[in-house]
Amino acid sequence: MITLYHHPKTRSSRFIFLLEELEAPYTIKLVTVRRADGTGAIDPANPHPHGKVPAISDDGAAVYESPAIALYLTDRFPKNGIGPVVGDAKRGPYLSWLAYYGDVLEPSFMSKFLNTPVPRGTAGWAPLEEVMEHVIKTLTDSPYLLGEKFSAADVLYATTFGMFGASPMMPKSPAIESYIKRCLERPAYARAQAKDNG
Amino acid sequence: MITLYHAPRSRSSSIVWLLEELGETYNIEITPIVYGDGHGSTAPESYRRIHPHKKVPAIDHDGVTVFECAAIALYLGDAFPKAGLAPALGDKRRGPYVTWLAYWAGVMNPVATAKFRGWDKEGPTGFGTFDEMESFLSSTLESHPYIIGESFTAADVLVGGAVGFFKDTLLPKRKVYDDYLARVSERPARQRALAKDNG
Repeated sequence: MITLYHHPKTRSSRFIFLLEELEAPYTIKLVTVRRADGTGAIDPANPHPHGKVPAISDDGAAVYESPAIALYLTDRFPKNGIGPVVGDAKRGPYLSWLAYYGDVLEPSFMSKFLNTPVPRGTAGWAPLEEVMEHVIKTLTDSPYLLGEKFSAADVLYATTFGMFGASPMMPKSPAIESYIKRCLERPAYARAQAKDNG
Repeated sequence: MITLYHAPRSRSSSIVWLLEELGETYNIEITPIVYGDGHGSTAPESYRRIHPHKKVPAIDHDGVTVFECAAIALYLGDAFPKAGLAPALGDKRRGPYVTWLAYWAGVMNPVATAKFRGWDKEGPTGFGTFDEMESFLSSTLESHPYIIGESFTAADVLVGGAVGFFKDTLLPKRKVYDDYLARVSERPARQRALAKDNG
């Protein structure tokens, strides 16, 4: 049984979406978190070492960091084919897109948001413009990041783009707009939204 | 066949080490990059089909391209299980293993850059502060000899590489780091990798 440590309308909401896609057995444990505005507090019930969400536990073993949770869950619950398994030709691109989310896409957004650009060669990520160019090119060529088939990588990217959609940081792109729509109109997303408050 | 796109003394050096640990045949393709101090040059445009930002490392395994260190480590550890670098699916250590690879990529690296560049602070970032990471890293290494427990895994290649890289700069002096580095550095694969770093 999977327990999702969750706070409504945060980075953990997308894992309800993923768990619904996987049709995995899970329970939601609502926890408090420190908010960017200084309110809230770390919840001692949360196994995340920094008190953040998302985190999951699987029979007592904690997993955290969004790319790790996505990979762990799709390997653990493979029946719906939401993540290419070991030996699948798409496994390499799948792992690359998951890792790229955590160490390139998120820091590049943050770097842009905080207006702290980094010279080439000094950071593990690239400027947001270059990152989005790569993403847009991929999504212009195919409906999902891995090609014709939806995966947990799309859960991470589509929900992030959905959240930042109106931000001036996001380039206007019909490919991204239709991608967000395609991913978020899935029935599992609607079920997840209905459960977001726990 | 595995090809590693590599630049000496860069983030891809860890993957030379990983490949030596793996014990599979591989080629090194020396790839130009721009280093942090501005020297070097960017790879030819044709390299963009391997890496979208023309960075290293990237690997090609029988026509499949994988990039991002954590992805490469996960991919190779699972593709070649007999090397024993990755707890298998169903192993109790699988959760900590994937977590540490993602934490290395999504927290340790960005907070180190943020700290180095002076914008390390608690706030809207997903990755938190350097001090928070550092205290978690040192307490984890105090509780067992390797990052996820009693045995060496591919996660130690990345975490060990980072501890070695930041030891005398961003990281405070702690015996736990010296001991950990000594433990991972004395591995024969690490020594072979250092000798091959120039290609």
